[in-house]
Amino acid sequence: MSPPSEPPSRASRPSPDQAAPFEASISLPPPPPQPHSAAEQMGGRLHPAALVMWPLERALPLLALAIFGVLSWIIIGVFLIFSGAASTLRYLRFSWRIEGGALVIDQGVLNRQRRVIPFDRIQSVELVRKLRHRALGVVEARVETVGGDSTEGRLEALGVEQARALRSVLLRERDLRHGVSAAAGQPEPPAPVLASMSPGRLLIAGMTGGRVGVAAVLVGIAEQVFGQRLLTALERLPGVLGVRGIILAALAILVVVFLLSVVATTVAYWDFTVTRERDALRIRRGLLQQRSDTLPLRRVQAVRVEQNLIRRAFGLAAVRADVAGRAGGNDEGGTTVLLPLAPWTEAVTLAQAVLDREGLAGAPLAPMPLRARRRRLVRAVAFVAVAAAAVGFSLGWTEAALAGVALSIPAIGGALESYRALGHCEVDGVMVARAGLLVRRTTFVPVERVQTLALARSPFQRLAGLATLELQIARSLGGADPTLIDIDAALGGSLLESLAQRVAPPRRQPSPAGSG
Amino acid sequence: MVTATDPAPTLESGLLPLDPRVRLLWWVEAALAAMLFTAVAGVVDAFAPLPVPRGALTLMVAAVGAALAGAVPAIRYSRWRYALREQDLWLRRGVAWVTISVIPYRRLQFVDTRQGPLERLFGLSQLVVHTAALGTSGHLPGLDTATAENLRERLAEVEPDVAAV
Repeated sequence: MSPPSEPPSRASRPSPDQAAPFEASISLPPPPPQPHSAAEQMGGRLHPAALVMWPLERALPLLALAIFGVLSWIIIGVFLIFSGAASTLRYLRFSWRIEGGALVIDQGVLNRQRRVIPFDRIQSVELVRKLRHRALGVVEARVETVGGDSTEGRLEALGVEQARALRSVLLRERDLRHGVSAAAGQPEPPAPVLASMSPGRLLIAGMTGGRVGVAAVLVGIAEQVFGQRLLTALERLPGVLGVRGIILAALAILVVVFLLSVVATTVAYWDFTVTRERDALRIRRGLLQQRSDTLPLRRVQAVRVEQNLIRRAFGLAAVRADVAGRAGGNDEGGTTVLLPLAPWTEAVTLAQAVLDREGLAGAPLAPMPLRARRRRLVRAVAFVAVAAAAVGFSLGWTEAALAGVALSIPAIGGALESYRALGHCEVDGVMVARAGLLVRRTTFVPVERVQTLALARSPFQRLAGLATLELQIARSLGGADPTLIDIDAALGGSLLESLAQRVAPPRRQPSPAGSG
Repeated sequence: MVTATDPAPTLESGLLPLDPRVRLLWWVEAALAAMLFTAVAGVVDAFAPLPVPRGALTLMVAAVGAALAGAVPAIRYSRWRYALREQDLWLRRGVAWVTISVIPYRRLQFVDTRQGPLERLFGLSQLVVHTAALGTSGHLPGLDTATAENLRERLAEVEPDVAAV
């Protein structure tokens, strides 16, 4: 029941004596010219609400057991008393302050720990309001540093105003240390809103989103769990329900899936707002758990505008960013959602704003050579032929002919559509690549964000004089590198060369050794 | 000090093949793998009731294994080229799928040399370069150990420009 003591990280420095001066042992850059007296005065304990929040957090699982009669209420009472005492000790031992150019957190009942997070190590400051925080009117502040996979500085309960003030102080001080030209002293202009989601749009996002795929997963799980019994039950269904019953059941499942998708989307993206604050994006979202993430623009490696089949039919798209390092809790497949749904032009305008470039909206994409279309058609015909042959050997040749005709329509349609999706161009120093049949993905990657390049050719691509150019970026796991699929081999080769010259151009002036 | 901008007279120009000893190394490795598969096939032949004459499976696996073990290392070796260009490392590799990679020196985060037990026997080392790109480190096998060490030292001196990571 002792409070969890986090293992010391690089930024921490356990100190047995709280009064010992520690600034001397830390090499800090000279303090900023103007005194931030307000900043130096910040600090104190957590919000007293922690005294209520911690014991309840611990007792909640037990409470459920008591309600179902597994545990007696006396045990719960004793537990609550102990937990309350432990929480009080923990509360009394916990303090934080801003001192000597760093956020300092002292904590620990038995193992005392002092963690010092210098401003210039801070990567992001996140304010999280889970349900329990909202019930008690407090906010949790999470301070992340570069590297490391856990939250380095965690203030579990702060007053709302205090938390906001802390965040703005930490971010401003960090920017000062990084030499970012912060408009110090001036009142901050209201942050421009780059994108937001209305409730109506959320509804559409839920109805057209990839979360419909959840249904397929559920069916898959059911099949795993029930196995053969499910299949037998499905075979018997026509007899039990009749044709009308099956149609009704399918409709009911569809409605439930849509509802689930709408609810999930609404809960996750309620009040979704993206604002720009100097060199970062602030992404706010969430119904039950309100999140506010800060994404420094320099960490954005590429922006993707994605359309699935349904959304494409309505001219809608979602926007995601590939982010280096941790994606700030807003992860979805290694990317950060910048906008769950918007009309196409609005989506591209957001991409433009995030990358700070012009002319992406109307960029004319060059198609890939017609040999790429031929490749896809050949592949489709080969697939249909193999499938028809399989049917022919197992059922009969009349069935094979029918299957061939039935399959060739979607196969050839898919091949043509998949070719039509391909396109590429360069606008204002941004490589644009488009591909994808089921999800059409237009990727925007600034040339200087490309890390390494690769030109790959399969045997069939070599026959057709085609190649695939990969623009490899510093992305997170789960994302994908921007790729120019089936580009003309000669063009791909010359792009490889010209881009390689530009991704990391030599510096004009030799910089002094040891810098950077 | 070598920088990316130097014309760097010491940097070789043109496409270089790997050290020929690596072909021998690959042949040895492939032969070992082929023998392993043949042995497994032999066990299956001896104990499993197959609808083919006894020993046919073993013979087939041995034949295919020998053909692959002979051909693939040779093709792979003849395809491999690398070049230390003015600003980047250029690699071409692949048997069926052919890939050309370009790794700008200024994107390098760190450079390793590696050596397995067989490689030590042949006096060879691998050079592995790491960038911020995910899972796409450049991999240059079959260098003379001294060459690899020398390369690592020189590449480590290039001033990095790892922006925004």
